[in-house]
Amino acid sequence: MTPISSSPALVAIRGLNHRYGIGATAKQVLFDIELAVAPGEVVFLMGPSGCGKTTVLTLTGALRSVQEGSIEVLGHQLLGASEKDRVTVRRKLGFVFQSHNLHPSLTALENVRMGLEGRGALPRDTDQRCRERLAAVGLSGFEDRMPDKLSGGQRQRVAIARALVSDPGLLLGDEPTAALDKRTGYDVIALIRTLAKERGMGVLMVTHDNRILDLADRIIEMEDGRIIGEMPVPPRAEPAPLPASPVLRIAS
Amino acid sequence: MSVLRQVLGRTPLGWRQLVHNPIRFLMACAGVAFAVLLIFMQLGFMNMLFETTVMLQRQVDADIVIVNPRARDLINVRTVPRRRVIQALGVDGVRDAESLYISNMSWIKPDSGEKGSVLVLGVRTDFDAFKTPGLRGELSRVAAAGTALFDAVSRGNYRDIVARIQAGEEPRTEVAGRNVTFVGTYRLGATFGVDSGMIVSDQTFFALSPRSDPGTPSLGLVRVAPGFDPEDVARRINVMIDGTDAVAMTMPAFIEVSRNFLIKESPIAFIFSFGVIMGLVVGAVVVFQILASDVQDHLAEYAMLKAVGFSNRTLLSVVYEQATILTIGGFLPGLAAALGGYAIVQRSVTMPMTMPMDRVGLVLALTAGMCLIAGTLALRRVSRVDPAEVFA
Repeated sequence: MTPISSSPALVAIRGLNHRYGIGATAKQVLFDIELAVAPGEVVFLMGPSGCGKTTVLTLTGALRSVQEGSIEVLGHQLLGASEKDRVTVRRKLGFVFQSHNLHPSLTALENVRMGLEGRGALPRDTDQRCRERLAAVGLSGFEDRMPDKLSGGQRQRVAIARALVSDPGLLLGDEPTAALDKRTGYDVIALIRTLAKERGMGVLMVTHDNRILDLADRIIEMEDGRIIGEMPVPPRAEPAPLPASPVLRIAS
Repeated sequence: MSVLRQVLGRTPLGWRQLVHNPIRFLMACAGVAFAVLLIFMQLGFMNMLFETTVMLQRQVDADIVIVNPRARDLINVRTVPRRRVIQALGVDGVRDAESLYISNMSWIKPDSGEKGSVLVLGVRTDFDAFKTPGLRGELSRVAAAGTALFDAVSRGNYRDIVARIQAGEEPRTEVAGRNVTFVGTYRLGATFGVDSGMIVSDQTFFALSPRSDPGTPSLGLVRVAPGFDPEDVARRINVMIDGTDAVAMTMPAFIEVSRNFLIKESPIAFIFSFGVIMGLVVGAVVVFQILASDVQDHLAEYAMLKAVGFSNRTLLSVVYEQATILTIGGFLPGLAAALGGYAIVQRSVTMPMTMPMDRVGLVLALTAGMCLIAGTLALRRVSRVDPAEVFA
């Protein structure tokens, strides 16, 4: 694939196999997966539940050890990586989950801070940066709200701000719209798409949500642990909320 | 909370989680406070036992005592030959020496008319053997035969009789079958073994206790002349008396002997240490329960934090932060409750119960250790949190 060789992909998965369990009870869940995500590219991963898409996501997110094959994420080979190496990789990634997993005892701003804390010394302007990210997801003025005083869509946007506060090169999403209504879900993913285009951030997202498919650059279909092909991206139902900046458009 | 944030260099997650569930937080503090109270009471009782045992010794105005080598304390003192005390008078550096007679005698309690026992101290009235308020310079009042001073803080309902004595009424009671007239009071206090006490002249003592031999006092009291070291003088007395029936030691050394006997030879230290350990176990269980359920409630958040790059160590520091908060939040109310408890006990049993700073430090250290251990046990779950679970 030419794009990979000319500009290095953020994610490059080759010949990936994965099994759960050991010995006779081992069950192979992934077969020979090949997948790449380029900078600024929004890739959806679809398929029936149990087809292995979440496993692909957890392996790419350095949350599990790679058993066989190769996964390169942001230039790090994950095959044979130690727990410490994997923590290092995780810190360069952004995660958005099906459930927002906001900390109920922290304010919106503090929840965003969590995206930076836990990785050593914090920059002096941490709070400023967190405010900017909240503003970027349209939550200016909500900094001191507790999660239980936010709507579902607002919580998911806080979670996105948390994922983005560390300027990740790659955003991994696990059905981030599952708990949201149509309008909110669409807006949240449109926002992610805009940010991806602006920053040259790659997005790899598992979704079942047919309402948002037009926001993808590519839609990869999986079944029974195998990639069975790409789905055509439907025409954009609504205009993209913000145009990508020219510099990053070239990069992508 | 910005202070906490400064100290930790991160958002005080542990604190925020605790106050987010205020009922549980209060329960946890109450649990720790209860353990702290329990430990303080055990140590207080143990110390009261130790202190009251040597309380009388502390009131005796003597630099050196000459006692039976098997003497444990002033109540279990046995006897020494009087000539050892007289011999000591000849030692360089001895200013004065006198005999003290001590005996538990039967008496009729002046309040109720019941039979009981009373600790009777007999000493020459011109020796001024006690530092106690009401006794210093007052012993001449019992020079007349059959008169006594009564311990106003004896255990029992003696308020009326003390009031009558202080009003100058000179009430009488029967001690060892003879009449004794109370002519005054002093304040010393009861111990575990002794409910009430009185002081008489040595002559009255012999009259009350015809079988006791003036030649075998309970102990000898020695005062050292100015400029002499009591240790040196005691050593010289020992050389002089050179006996197996008596030994001289400084008063602080004798107090140490009494304490050590209680600590090493009696089960008291073991019994109260056991109580302290029970308190620690109760506290540790409470803290563990609270922290473990807090960890359990936040597993999803912890998994998420791990997924975004929190190391195990940072997450562990959250639980330790909570353990530290519970230590402080439980210790301070526990200490306050213990001070109240001490006051109540002191009033009820008329024995001194004090709170020395080193005990406060000890219990604080024990509480911190207890919370850290409980926290460490609760943490095992945090380490096992699988960040991949956030995708489940």
